[in-house]
Amino acid sequence: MSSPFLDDRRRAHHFLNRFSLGPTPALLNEVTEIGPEKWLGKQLEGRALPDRRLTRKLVKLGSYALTNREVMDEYVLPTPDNLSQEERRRRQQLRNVPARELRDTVLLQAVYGEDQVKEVACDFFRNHFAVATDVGRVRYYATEYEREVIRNRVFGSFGDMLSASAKHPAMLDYLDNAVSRRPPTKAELKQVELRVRQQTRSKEQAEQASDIAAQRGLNENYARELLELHTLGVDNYYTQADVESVARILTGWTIENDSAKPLGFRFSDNMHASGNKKVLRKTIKENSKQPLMEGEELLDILVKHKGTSEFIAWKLCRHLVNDSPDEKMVARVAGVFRKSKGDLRKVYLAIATDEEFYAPRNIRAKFKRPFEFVVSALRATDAEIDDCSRIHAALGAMNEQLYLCKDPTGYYDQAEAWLDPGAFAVRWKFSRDLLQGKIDGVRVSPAIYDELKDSEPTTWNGLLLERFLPSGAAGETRSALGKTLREYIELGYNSHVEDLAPALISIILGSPDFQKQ
Amino acid sequence: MTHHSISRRRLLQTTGVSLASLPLASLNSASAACLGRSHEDKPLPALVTIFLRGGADAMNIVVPYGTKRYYDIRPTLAIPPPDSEGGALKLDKKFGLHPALADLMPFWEAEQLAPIVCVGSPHSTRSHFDAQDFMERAAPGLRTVHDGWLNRYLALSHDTRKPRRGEAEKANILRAMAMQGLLPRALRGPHAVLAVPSRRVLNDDATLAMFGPLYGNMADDGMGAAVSTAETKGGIVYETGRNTMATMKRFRAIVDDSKNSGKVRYPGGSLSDKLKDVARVVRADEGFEIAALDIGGWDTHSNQGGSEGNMANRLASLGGSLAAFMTDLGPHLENTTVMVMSEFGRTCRENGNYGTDHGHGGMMLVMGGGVEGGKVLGKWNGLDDDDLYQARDLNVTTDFRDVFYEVLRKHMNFDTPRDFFPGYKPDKIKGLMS
Repeated sequence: MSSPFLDDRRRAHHFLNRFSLGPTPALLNEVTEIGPEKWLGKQLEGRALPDRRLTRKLVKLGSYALTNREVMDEYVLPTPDNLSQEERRRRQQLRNVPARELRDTVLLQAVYGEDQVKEVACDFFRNHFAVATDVGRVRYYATEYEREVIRNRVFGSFGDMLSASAKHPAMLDYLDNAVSRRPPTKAELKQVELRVRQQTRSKEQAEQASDIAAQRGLNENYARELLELHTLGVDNYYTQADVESVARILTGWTIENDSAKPLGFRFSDNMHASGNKKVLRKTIKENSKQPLMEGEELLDILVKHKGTSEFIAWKLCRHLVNDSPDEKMVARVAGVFRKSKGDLRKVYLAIATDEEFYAPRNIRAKFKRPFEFVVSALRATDAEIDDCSRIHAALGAMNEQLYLCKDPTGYYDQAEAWLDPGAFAVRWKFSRDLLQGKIDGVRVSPAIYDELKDSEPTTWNGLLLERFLPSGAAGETRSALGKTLREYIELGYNSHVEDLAPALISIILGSPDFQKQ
Repeated sequence: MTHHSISRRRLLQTTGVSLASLPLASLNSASAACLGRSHEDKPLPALVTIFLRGGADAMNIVVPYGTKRYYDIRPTLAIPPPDSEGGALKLDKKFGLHPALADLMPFWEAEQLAPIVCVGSPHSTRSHFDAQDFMERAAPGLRTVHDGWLNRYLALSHDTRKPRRGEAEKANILRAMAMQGLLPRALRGPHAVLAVPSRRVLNDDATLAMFGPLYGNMADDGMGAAVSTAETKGGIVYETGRNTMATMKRFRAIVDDSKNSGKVRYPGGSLSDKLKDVARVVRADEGFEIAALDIGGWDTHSNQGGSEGNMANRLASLGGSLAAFMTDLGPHLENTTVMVMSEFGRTCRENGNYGTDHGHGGMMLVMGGGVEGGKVLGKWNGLDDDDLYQARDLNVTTDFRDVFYEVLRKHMNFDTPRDFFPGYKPDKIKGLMS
């Protein structure tokens, strides 16, 4: 353990702790054999075969492959007054289906997907470009967003994903850009002033009305998060004036309201603020012929900005390597980001093959977020999921429900955010409930006990530790397992695997070791 | 045993920032001499902080109905003046309380409620996340400070009371808690604090029994230390698990003890249930000092509502629950202070979506037996453009740290050591606490 040189199996285990959502025995064997680099190469080429069990489960989710418009047509039916009570309720419940199935889709793919590197990347960018289904109409748009903006682009370029997120109705609605519009023109303000003056005969009131009207329209919400969360990082290279400029540049970026067209992006000339805009020490000239291009130019500036490469590299290293990643490594990765023009596959590869990745300080240095904990436990126990709802409820109890982060930051991936006394108890309960079959719709595979059946109970802990914690366990964990096993044997019970092994595995899943990756 | 060693021990129970290292910097300036607090045999002071997440619109909570321009710049959102329909509840000639907070008026009349206007951070950020971090760490603009101000208090203070029955040998492990699954930033840091899980988890005895050998009972027979080696120790994650086990048991013992239950009717709902449990813990008077909880949904960019509507509904729930809580405390209200705060206020003008955007100066409500209430505190400059921050937001005339400082000093009897509020020279807010 103290040696900085990891043997092949531990090297593979460390690698899979970060580049998969939880190693399984088969996957660990495969990567140990062919080596992390080769396996990663195959994953990045997208050559993994779709898992049949996953396909079987996904086809049951009717909204999984739908566009925004199709979701609206099939799940959002009008509820006029003359409907029966029953039908009204049915229609209202129907509206909740797409978001629920979206959560199922994400969970099932995370657990069963063969494209584990893609799952890790989706998990990262789903939080980087976070939207939440409890805001506005995001619950109808998030299905397409997850599929088209996140999943289909995590192996593409960062700029492409940024642009897709900026134009997707889910983001336009979630961060209000869809309603952000130019302030009124001087002529329009004059009109307001005249009208109020005629009505009230007060010059003062008329001027105030015009002042108020002048404030109308511009919404900085998306502009701020675009700079703060999506590209440059907070207060990094930009000021409040830049936020306002970005908001002005992006006025008119809104959602298509013509039901004959795809429910996607629309540029509204009438909402767009005219004039040159100064942003990030550059001037974006008014483009009156193609005002949409101002926003495209802005996104291009952001994607090429040094600050963006630094911020994305730092965040990815924080996610995949260490809560406080090595600065030199971040700089190297940022360099790859710039050189490759934001080619995300090159960036992942740069992280996985960086000398720092296997440094002792990074081994098991990350604390699993609730999502990572739950998915890795389901993968480790090869659980059969027939109904996801109780798993979502468990994630809710751990404060990490999918697509329901309260802040546009997305869920934090640092230990600091999750490692609270009390929060632990929810993980213990999940570990016990999972192995006791108390999570409705979820069964762990009986095969996880096979190995134990022909062995002496005194060897069980060793076998289980090798399977679930192949990089070793803390003394406290081994002692607790030993004590539990000893008591059981001393009490003279028959050595039924089914009686004791679930308790031992629960303790392993709830141990400090299994919380780390 | 010196104070220093107590801090070290608490640090080992830490919930700090990294799995590998502990943040020690903030403790360096502490000297043992200034930290002791003496209460003799009086009940310990208790502090309850409620954080309105999202930047609550201060001007529609403490309503400046006396400022004419308020009505000009908020044509659809303004709360009408007192005595009109849906009007503000009159506090004084200038200010009224949002009508949905009617349940708090008896406390105003009893001079136990002090609203503070134009309170906020000297830092200009309009980012929720930065503003919240800066405020909860009481270190505006300083990204190097990672522990919360309440945690800092817990880590640096220690109780010099005489031990009560049965607690002489027992470390007090429930000095503070958050009534939610995760700690707010203000309570994060070296001192271990319980984030109270839901009742379903809390009352699951089978699970607690299963994990007893790992996280609980092991300490009793000393095996934990004997079998651990430096390399295989569970470290900070393991220590957090042990804290979870110990503090949950303590919390349950208190709230399940019928002698701690009260008779007051609460309005119901999640906030109300949480405050009911806090009241039990305060009444038990077993060394409890701080409870914190968050309420979300105050980022009202659109459809904020006025006397009625989205924000009014939230305020009604807040006011009703708080009023029940303070009544439920009975005589313990004397030694309890409640603070309601938010990361910033919102734009003075309403926006084009019947809402308001991120602003600067905000408000606080401070309540309790020791509060010199019945008057609105804080300097109000008016709402003309020249009076506003960047011609759009309320200026900050009271630094939020002034309030924190005063509450710690007067209510918690805690003299903040130098650099407790990094880079800040304490300034008293006059007339807040008796």
